Amino acid sequence: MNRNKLYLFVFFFCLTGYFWIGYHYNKAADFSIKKETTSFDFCLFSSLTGVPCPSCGMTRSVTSAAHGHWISSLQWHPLGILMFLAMLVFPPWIAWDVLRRKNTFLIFYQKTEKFFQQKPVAIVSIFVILAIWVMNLFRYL
Amino acid sequence: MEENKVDMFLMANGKYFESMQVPQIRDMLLRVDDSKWVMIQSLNLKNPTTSLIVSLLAGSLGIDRFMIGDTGLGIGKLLTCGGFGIWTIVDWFLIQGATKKKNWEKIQPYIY
Repeated sequence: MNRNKLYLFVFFFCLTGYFWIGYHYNKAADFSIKKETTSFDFCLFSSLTGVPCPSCGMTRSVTSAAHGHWISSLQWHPLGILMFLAMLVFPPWIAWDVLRRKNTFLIFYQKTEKFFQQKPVAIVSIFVILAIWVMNLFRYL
Repeated sequence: MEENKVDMFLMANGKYFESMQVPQIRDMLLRVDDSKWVMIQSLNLKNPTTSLIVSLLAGSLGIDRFMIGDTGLGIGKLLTCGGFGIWTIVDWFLIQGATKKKNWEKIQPYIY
């Protein structure tokens, strides 16, 4: 993937994310974690199969983080804080890169890809995702 | 390389590339040294149809993107539940082209 395409894509992806979180920002007034069934309105996977996917709870996790409730953010989804940070950092990083005509973000992206393509890292990440999935299954089913 | 070898390769692997790239690949392979034949033969080219099937079945988990080697995009797709559901649908139409592009990138170092 070339630089401009990646930057445009990540920028618009983050923008969609902002709209998404903005739409849900005030809905998540109750941050306490409880067993509940959610309306899977957008997730294709869960609306087709009725089973929550590994990223269920991500919206609530990011909104909790945006409200400053770090603990409940971790409870909703352990990777939510990472996502929150990515959404905060990536757009300014891209803007800085574009303005300074550099490609530090592209290098970061390629290094991350290489990192996750290493076998041990890939196996550990798959197990982490599976663990989160099992947690979600227990929570929502 | 000999013409019949190249044609054999393209007969077996032509569908893994965009149709407009095939004549170019043929020209370049004809010019390539014979010593690269084994390398080109053993290239791990991905089948676009397989990636379409994977995309249809497990697209919202990003498995299709992981499969063709777009790990970064795969992580993005996985963590956002298939890009809010929209990316999953968009990828049903894009994944075959993306796979062919990846195959094209894979064969590049051997034909130049």
